[in-house]
Amino acid sequence: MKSVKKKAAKKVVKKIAKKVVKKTITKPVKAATKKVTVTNKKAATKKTIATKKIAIKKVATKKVATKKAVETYNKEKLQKLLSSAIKLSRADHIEIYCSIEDREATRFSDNAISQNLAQKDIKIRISSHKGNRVGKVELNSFDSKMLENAIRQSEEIVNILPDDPEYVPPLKKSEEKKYLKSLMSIKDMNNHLSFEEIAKKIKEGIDPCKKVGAKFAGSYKHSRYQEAFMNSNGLFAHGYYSAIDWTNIVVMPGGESGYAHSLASNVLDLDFKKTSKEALTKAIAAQNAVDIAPGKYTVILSPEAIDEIILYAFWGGFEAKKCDDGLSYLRGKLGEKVFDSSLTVTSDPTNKFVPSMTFDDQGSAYKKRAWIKNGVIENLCYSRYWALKNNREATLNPTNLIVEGNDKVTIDDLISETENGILITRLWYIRFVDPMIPSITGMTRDGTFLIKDGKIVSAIKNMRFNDSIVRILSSIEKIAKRIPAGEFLRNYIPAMKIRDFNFTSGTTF
Amino acid sequence: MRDLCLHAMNEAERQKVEYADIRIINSREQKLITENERVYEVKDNFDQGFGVRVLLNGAWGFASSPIITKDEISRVVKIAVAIAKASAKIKNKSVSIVKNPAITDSFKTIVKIDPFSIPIKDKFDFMFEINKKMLKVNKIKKVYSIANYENVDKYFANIFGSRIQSNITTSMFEYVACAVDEHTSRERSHGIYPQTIGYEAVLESDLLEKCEKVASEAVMKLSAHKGIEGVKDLVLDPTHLALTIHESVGHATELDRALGMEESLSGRTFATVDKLNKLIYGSPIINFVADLTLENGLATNGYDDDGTKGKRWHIVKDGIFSGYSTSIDTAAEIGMSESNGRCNADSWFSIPIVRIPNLSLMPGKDNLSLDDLISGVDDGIYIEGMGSFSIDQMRENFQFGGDVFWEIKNGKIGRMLDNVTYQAITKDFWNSCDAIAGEKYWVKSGVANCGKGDPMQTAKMTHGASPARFRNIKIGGGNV
Repeated sequence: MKSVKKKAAKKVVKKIAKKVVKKTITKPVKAATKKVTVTNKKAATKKTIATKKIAIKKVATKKVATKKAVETYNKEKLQKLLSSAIKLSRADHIEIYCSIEDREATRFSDNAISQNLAQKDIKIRISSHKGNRVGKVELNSFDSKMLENAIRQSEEIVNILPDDPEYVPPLKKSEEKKYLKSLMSIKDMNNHLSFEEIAKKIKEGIDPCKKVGAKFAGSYKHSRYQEAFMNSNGLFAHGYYSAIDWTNIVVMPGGESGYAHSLASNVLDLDFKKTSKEALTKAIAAQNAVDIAPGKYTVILSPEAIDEIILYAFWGGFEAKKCDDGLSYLRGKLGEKVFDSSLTVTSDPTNKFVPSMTFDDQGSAYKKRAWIKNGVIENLCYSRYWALKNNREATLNPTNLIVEGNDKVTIDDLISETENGILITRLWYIRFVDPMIPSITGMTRDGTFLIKDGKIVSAIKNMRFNDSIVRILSSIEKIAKRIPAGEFLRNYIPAMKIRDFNFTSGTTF
Repeated sequence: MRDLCLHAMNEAERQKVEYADIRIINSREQKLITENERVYEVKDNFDQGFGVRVLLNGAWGFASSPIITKDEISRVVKIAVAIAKASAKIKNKSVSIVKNPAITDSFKTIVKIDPFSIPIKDKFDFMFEINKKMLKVNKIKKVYSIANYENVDKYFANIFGSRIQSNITTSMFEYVACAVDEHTSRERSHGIYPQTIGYEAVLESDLLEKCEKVASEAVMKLSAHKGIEGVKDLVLDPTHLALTIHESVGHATELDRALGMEESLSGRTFATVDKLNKLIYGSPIINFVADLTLENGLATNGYDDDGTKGKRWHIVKDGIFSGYSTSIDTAAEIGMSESNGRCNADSWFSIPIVRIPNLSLMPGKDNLSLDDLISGVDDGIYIEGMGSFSIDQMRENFQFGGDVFWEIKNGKIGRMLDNVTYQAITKDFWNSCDAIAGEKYWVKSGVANCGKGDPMQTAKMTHGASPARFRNIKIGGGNV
């Protein structure tokens, strides 16, 4: 049960969130040296990639029919379908947005597949405009009769609505000129594994776990979306979005666990074995965890943990209207320094590591944006209406979050420079306590480690923290290099060393 | 629908599956939100499709499609079979299921007024009336009213011969008042708890009557006393307890978690199978009852998506852990002769998984009142409504906030407190409960957006309770 205020805050990422499956990723801990190393997805050798290409090509003949949905609705066909539907409109204006989804989702636990799915869906949203009102209807069929009924229903709704003081008319065709060239293509959609191939990848993760008596769990998901938008001004947009998640948890006989997660747009870019090895290595290191007392500690937060905190910083307050209404911790802070000078956050739909869609469900072009620059609030999320009212550019919502990092610094460097501290590889169940501070609480999970004199000396039992996001992101001692990470958005995030992280209670595991 | 279902089962039988079922679903959802005196959102959503699940070679396969035709069903059955064959290559042992008897039945929510028969304009007029009243309260800057009406028509068939039709209507209405001053903002919410019921729930509610009080309390929160911490007694209102029950009992007693099947996302549970009928979960006055027949319950659907008829059972009896939420395969895994029947998918698109049922803390037997509970507290806090919530992946260490907090001193309610949090370990917390108010004070609340599974699915369930008292709880961990 979430309040609408929280819902509105979450809207910052919701449009993209529904395309991205909840995940965080963690890094490997080598059992022998107990040092943490960072995944470098770019480090995959050409040989490895070439081998993968052969494997994919080989299994392509076995692909199940889920691929058909993508092939059935190509750009030209969708343009034709939307164009025909728009002609049925009796309203002043009409907008139609559609999304076609195909997904394979395989889940495993206890060294066996436990859930295995092929899912397919269509979403069509019709927005009929009359005067300064908009009526919306959604359906999931291109059946011509159903589509016409839905258009009529949206026209009935628009007729009974009161005038909307925050109405904005549909965009002009000229918006098309602003679209960035998407980095995702039909190739990302078509490179997908058969269920037999997915099973093979899972078995490759299980085998080394069995050797040490551990259990392999996790999931493989490949969600593929084709999206199109058209309005009665002739504006048309079309694009592809592919999101693959390979999530691994290894559980040792004593219940200690290690976690790793990789994400990619194209399955050829995913290193399955490396990820499963990371999870196993970390699970082994997580054994024999000791207790520590609650209190304030210097912590090294993995990119996955930082990703969660950055996301909550955005959920909590970057909506310009909320700020102006006094409902955000960033009210009156536009242009002011709020965070540490080392923090810079941008978004870029064409980032090659975490590409995103280049238009939204009203046909607006997503652009590259700076949100936080050297700790200063550079931009807030202005909707089209709020931008018009305040004579500003509509900045929309971020489609990804790119945090400035330092390619010369590894997470190992952060550890070796820490006299007393804690390495947190994953945070779990974070929630706001007071969004106006904004304070949050949450737990550590799947591998938390004690650092003494620059080395990991032990695993520690899981802890609960309560802290302020502003305080955390104003207490950055050092930033490392970045990797793709993300629970809701696909982000590009570094590990960070933070002072005085506030643990308030512990667990028995 | 019946012909399509039969066609699916015939196709599955031809593939020599051990088990198969199909759900064909047509649904409509209407979402209305007003922000101050404007329509923030109006959306009518029509959705249809089917999902096929097969068990073959001791492994599951599932596929779904929005196109409801015989040809598409044939295609999707073949995909589900192919997926099951792939699943079977990575298994420890064959999945077994408890076999439900073949049932032909139907179930329909009792609805006096179909929410979709009420003109949208009338619904908005009511919402605007509430918003206007709340906006008259000084310092109320923003108000939202949120209404959601849903109807799900489902036809279920399985290979054992069950043919079950259900038609479930859900109504929800909530409003939020946001107060703003020069320092901060605070919000307070109220609503009819979501129920399987018609629009009569809105018409017969106290929504209009209470809205100004709710807005006034939002304003009071701006100047409520801050920074409370220490070890204190708690008296928790049913509107608050619903979420505590949900997180620390509901999720902890899902059998798929206990069997490790949620390892990769939601996690496991401390309530493992070896502790069934042994673990002291709470004090002897604690009884948690799962009831899938509960009147107007959000999980009262007649049957679950395994085709198991809704029933009533104890999760905790006289303080002892005594039951799980189950599915036909998890029940078989621990040797149960039948499932308790709480395996549901959130749409035709999704595979059924074990969910929290309607789960309630039963009233105390001593006919105590809320005042009786409060009068027994020297130094404590009375908490109403839901707020911040967080719990670890074993469902042990939790921290909760709330919506409104009242100080209790020497047995009497005093000043309002700001943003209190309490933290405890699940078993310790329920064992610290020394009093539960009587049946007269027992009310239903609920959760309409419970998230679980991977891919994530939502579910709805009711949680009833009477006010309850807890001794020596750690307060204020969330103060920073």
